[in-house]
Amino acid sequence: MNLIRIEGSSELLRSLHGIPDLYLALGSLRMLGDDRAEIWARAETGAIQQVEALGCAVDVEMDDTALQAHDDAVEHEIQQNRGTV
Amino acid sequence: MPYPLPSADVETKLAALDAGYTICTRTPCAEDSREGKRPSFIKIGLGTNPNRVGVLVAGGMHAREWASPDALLSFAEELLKAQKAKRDMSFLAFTHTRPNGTTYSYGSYTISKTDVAKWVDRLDLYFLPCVNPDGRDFSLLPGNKMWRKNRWPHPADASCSGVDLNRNFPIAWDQDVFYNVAGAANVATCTTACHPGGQAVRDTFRGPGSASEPETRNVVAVMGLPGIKYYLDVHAYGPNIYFPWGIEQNQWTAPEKWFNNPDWDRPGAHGGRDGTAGVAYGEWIPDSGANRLLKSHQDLGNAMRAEIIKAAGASAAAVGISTYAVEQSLSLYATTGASDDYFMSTQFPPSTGSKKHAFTIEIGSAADGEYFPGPAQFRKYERDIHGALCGAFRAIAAGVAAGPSPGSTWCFIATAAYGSPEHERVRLLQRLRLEVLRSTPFGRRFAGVLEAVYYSFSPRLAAWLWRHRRSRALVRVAVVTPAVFLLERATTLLGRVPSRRLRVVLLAAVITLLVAVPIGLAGAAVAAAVWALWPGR
Repeated sequence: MNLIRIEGSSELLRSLHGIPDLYLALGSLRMLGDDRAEIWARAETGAIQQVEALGCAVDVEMDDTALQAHDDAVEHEIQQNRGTV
Repeated sequence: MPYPLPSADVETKLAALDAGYTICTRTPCAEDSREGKRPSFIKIGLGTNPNRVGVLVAGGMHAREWASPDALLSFAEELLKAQKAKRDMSFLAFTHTRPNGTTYSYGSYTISKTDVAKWVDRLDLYFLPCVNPDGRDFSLLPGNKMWRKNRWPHPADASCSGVDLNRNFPIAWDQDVFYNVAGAANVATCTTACHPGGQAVRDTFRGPGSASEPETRNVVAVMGLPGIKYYLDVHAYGPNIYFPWGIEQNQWTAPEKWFNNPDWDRPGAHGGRDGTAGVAYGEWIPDSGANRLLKSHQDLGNAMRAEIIKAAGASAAAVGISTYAVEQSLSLYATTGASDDYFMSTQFPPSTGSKKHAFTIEIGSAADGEYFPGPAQFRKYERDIHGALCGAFRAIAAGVAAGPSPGSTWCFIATAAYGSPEHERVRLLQRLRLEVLRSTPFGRRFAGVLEAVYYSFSPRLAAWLWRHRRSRALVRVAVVTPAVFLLERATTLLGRVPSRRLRVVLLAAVITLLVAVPIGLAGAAVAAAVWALWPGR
């Protein structure tokens, strides 16, 4: 799984819903002007290829390895220390 | 402080708040969750201001959005501590560390004790911090952190289980009836439990029926409690503050275009609403005359936004990542069955006297910890949530008239007895005192003495009556109503007296008798009892 930022026209971003293994964070949607918008998501590599094939720009903010390492670290802290804050 | 709390610990904390603070009451919801857990909510408020309004804050609807239950609990606890000690609410400075290692400094954040006193006087604050206990506990198990839904068990295939509670509320639930074909294609709601797109698509499964889930019905029931006019649903992540509608584009010129008009359903005359696919239909949100519901949503959203920024402190970098957009829920996609739209819908068709406001607050961002901030990111999410709540409570409380205070024109006991200062008999008493009795110098002196005595005890007695329903009814029937009846008759008779001065003197005499006779009778009864029980008689 990768953490990605997707940018494209409203029409393009509207077509993303329903792509397998693309977990869109709908609450993160922002209109950028000139009918452009961005949205964040978690996505498997295959889903990223589908998004790019539609014509959207994709920035991988955390790749599979980095995201997994972060997830593991948080999970470890939560399970071992009950996440003391 | 441990974080994130499992649902059982959330309940333990709520019970502790109930036990520790007299102005906090915990109530279990009506139904168990799918896996037999009973979430509860607390109500915080003095309950004395007859004008007070209710604000419901919900959290934990989506399982993986870890921060909101803990942040709502820490807010409620600090509010109660501050109110009890008559001190400011105080939140400590901290360092926020993003998952990529970048750090941000957040300063301390304080809410004045004056604000705290206003909030608990003018508002009934309801907190339902863990709407979806099964989902939360499942999400906290190793490997399950992306789980969003409740734990509805699919009858045939376990991989298809779970309902997105925020698509299950009874508002436009059936998108294939609500929209035309093109409109329904742009709805971010999954209609099939076992959708072939897998979990990413099934995440928004609307459920087997409208309000099919007990967790949904619990929220609906709390929303229906008397006086609740505001609903804040805390989610992750944004950063965005959304207000209705999510089902369609807002419009404020065509009242006939509203969600309950069957002409706009797919089988109706217009063939269905167009959602984001067209502009022929927009959802009506009043925004003219006395009912500017759109503007008041924008104003309240902006008040939350501003307070989140203030809560971030002096660091420009922290302010930069705690700046939220305030927007309508509907953007690229329409959403059906959402809790904020449902709460909004319960005031339709709208009247000027029943304004309700609903918000979905999408806390945090992808870079700050996504849905599930770790311990190093929780404080930032918590601070943003606290800022949003403080902004909302301050703005809402400012719009609520202050309750009675010594020296005011309030009739404390009558207001408590009849439940409202607007009751016709309470108004009669106010009129007698302000317009008749105070119309001569003698009357003003008499009223001054009367009020000095009355205000020495009545606020406390009225506050007690507000908390005791049966006593209120008894005082209303046995004391206030007969007294008002006699005063009304006396005023009618005195109206025939030509001299205003004499009229006021006679009214003062009637009031004195009304006060003196019950006191005299009570004194005589006590004296008789003492006489009868005196030893040696």
